[in-house]
Amino acid sequence: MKRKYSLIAVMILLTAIMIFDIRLNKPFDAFSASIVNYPERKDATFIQNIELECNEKLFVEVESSRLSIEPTIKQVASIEVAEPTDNIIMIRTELGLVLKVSGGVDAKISLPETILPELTVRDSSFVSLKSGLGEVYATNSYINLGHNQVSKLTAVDSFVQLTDSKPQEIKATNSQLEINQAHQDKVPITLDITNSVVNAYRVGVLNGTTIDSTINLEYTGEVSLTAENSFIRAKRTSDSLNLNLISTTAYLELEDHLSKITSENSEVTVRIPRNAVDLSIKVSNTPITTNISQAKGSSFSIYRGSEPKKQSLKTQGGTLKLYAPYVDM
Amino acid sequence: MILWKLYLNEWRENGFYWFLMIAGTITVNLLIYLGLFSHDVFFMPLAFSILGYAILCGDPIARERKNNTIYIKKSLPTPGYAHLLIKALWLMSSYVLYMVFWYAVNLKIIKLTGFTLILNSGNVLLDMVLLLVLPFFGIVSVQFSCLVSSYVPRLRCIFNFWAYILLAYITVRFVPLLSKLFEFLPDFLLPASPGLYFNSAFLAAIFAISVLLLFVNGKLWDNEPFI
Repeated sequence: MKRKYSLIAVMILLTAIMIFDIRLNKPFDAFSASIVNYPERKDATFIQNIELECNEKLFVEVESSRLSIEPTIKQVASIEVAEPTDNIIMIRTELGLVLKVSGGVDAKISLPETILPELTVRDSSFVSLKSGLGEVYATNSYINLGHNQVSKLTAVDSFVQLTDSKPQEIKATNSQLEINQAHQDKVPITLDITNSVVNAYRVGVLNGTTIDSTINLEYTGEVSLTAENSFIRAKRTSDSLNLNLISTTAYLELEDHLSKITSENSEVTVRIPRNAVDLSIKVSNTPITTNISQAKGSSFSIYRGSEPKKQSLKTQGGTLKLYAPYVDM
Repeated sequence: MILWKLYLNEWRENGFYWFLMIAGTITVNLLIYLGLFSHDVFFMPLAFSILGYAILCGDPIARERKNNTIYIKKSLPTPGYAHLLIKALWLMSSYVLYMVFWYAVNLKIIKLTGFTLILNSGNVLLDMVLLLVLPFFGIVSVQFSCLVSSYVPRLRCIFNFWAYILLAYITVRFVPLLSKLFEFLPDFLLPASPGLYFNSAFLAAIFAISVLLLFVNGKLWDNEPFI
């Protein structure tokens, strides 16, 4: 009896402390802050201005170093390092000003919005946030671009993370690309991908070619891709899907929007939409595995729902697995 | 040896529920194979198994009392924390076996859909540590609230929930303080989130609290009234 009442008293006391503590302090903030660590950056002691002449172009070359670029409201560009070093060199050439960062330097460049530097990154880590960039060439590097305007990105043996960044053209070889846009913009991204992995999430317009690569598309808008010897997966696409597959393994979840898929010697698995479908299929020398009863012969169509969008699927060779989430078709 | 026998006893007492989950998984997969269920539901047995295991964290302790097997357990020359540790180890090991089974029967769909488990930090070592520490903490937390509720004769369900909430609060308060003790440990790099490091001191603090709770639970088990 004594134990029971002591326990209840302790629990009531603790509950009261908990309520007051949560009201007055913020214990959950300290708890969530203890989960991750942000590595502390040493206070910079050395800032060097980058003196650019009118309309002069800036070229940044990074080798075996860490560089970040941030925008500044000041009119002068500057580079900031923890301590003075000889590994930051500025050379004026006919093309423009070349800034070389090498030898394991950890530097930060502050740039006015009007300057769009061209970057060459080798064996390095490069992070850019809310800045405008010209062309970016990365070799064996880690690139992280957040809220950036980039005209062209070329990556070799690199890991590239693009968050809300809109490069018009991406060329990648032996690389991994993580493209993530919070809002689907209609700015097209053209891909030229070889032997790489691309995970695209919420990309507005995506087109181009992929060879020997793995492509994952999710919540993408207009997609127009030619894939060769690749693995492609598309699900929850929202606008149109135009794929040309050559010797490719594909897993495609069609939604209620325009789709045009042609395949040649490919292993294609297609899940047709749940509610509305107007899919015309033409197959040539392609064995079909399906749970849809009307899928017979070399040319047939599947129609259901009211005013579904036109979709077409043409295959030559390879295999086709066609299935509906429900088998009452 | 006695611990191994206790472990086997856990299989005897709770193995039925494990087989029930296996049977459920086979049934769902059979229905998918026959086309009566959509492929989309392949993860449902896994989702239900997590719910089932949440119940199994506390239910066997309550059943020990209900079926009077707690007398036999208490007559053994093993401390309370050893009994509870065996129960936690059974839960973790049997779940690993279940996961392997679920993964094997759904391998084809998983490959097709690219389904990944919840943990996808990009750091395999971190994923493994999380998968070991967090379930262990979850199990000892449920055991704690279950054992606290056994100290009252009525309204145990409410006391169970109440104790769980208080324990969660105490954990939230103590983890940042305990983390400071383990700051010397190297952090886990998170490739998926550049610039961020998962704090290993946080995990060490959670583990320390779990071990502490295990011993507290052992004391609660040994001195349990109303039996």
